[in-house]
Amino acid sequence: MEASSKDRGPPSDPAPRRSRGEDSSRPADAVEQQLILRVAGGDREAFRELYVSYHRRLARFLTRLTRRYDVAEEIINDTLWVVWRKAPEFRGGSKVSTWIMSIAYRRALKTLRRLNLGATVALHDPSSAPAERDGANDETGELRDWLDQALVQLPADQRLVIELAYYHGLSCAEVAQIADCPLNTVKTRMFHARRKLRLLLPRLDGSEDGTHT
Amino acid sequence: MSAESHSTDVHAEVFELLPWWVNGTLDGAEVAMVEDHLQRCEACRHEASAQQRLRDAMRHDASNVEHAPQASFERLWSRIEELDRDVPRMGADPVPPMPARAAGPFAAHSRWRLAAGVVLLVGAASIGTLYLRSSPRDDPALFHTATATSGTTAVVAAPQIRAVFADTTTVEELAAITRAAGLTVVAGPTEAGVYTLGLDRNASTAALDDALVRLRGDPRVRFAEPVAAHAGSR
Repeated sequence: MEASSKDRGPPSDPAPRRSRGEDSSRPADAVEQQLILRVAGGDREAFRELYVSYHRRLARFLTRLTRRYDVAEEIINDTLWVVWRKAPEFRGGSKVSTWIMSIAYRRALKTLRRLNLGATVALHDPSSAPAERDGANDETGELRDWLDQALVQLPADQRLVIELAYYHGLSCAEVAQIADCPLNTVKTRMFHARRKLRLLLPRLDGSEDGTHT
Repeated sequence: MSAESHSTDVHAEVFELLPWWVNGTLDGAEVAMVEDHLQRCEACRHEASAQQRLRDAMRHDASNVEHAPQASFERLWSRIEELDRDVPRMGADPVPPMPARAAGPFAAHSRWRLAAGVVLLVGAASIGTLYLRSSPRDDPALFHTATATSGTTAVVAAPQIRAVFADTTTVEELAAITRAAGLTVVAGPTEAGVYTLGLDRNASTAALDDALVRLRGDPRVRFAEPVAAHAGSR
């Protein structure tokens, strides 16, 4: 579909470009590689530093996956325990963050299976409709609430892709590495997640009632 | 390949890449292809805008939970010391698989433990002396926040409530319940499943009472009591 000249141009405020040749996360990764080296040597302080720096992002990632704070907290410690044990074997074949997130992901999947937490709420389940908020004039907060409810309705693997790409800002290749699947699988999961979210969140279209198509 | 089918292929490829164009992780050639196509395709521009809004909402999705990594770290470290005594960590020793959840070092605290925590709390409240004797790391006054300097104690003076939620309460429900009551999760859950919820530091006694009423009126809240310092405000 062709656009008129006044409509041309990308949408405003895209994320800063981060091409592979100028990966802005590399300096941070170099610092973390050093931390892992110290952890491998049994340095408690380095491990504490690594733990604190990862706790928040793992908590976010894992509560999105498991939807339970207590379970997420438990998986965080399982994950960091594996990091502690495996640090001497880490050879830097991937970024530290990708390595740690992939451990967390595998442990989360096992936990989800064991606790049968992977089931999703059926689409269009009236009981899953977002509740009215007090002071709903806060548009961002309102969208956030809707988003929370919508994400719950995605299967865990699709939720993971959206979360890793949009909250953690990871590339398709990094997501594939964490989820241990081919690139095309990540793209397919993202495609289905986008499609469902567009159905569940009509306001993503930029109109109040979502009639803009 | 006709120009039309080529265009269709590019459209499909670009459409697929848009999330990673939006998050800025495409390589140079992909960026050029996407941006060239966006100049011409209104549908992709519209989709890119929608994905941009989704990403913005995700990134602003600030949780109302304050994490306490220091307390969690201490718990993990004490377990590591214990486990390393049993299986010393060597430079390249094979790492034993993590024990199953039920038997693992950080195994989920099963329902009986949650129930035990509830019984303990209810029992304590019923005799009018809710005075949870916690280990130092469970004491809300000693919880560290994610931003606290190592070794720094974050002393909490704001009104607080201890609450236990139904086992089936999801993260989203818990967040909604606490938000509706004007509360923030300050710490927890403890091993017994107890959350410490905080009001704004300047909150009045009435606000605390209101929050308690809201919590107690919700069937998903098994238990809600003010912490000892505010117990007299009810």
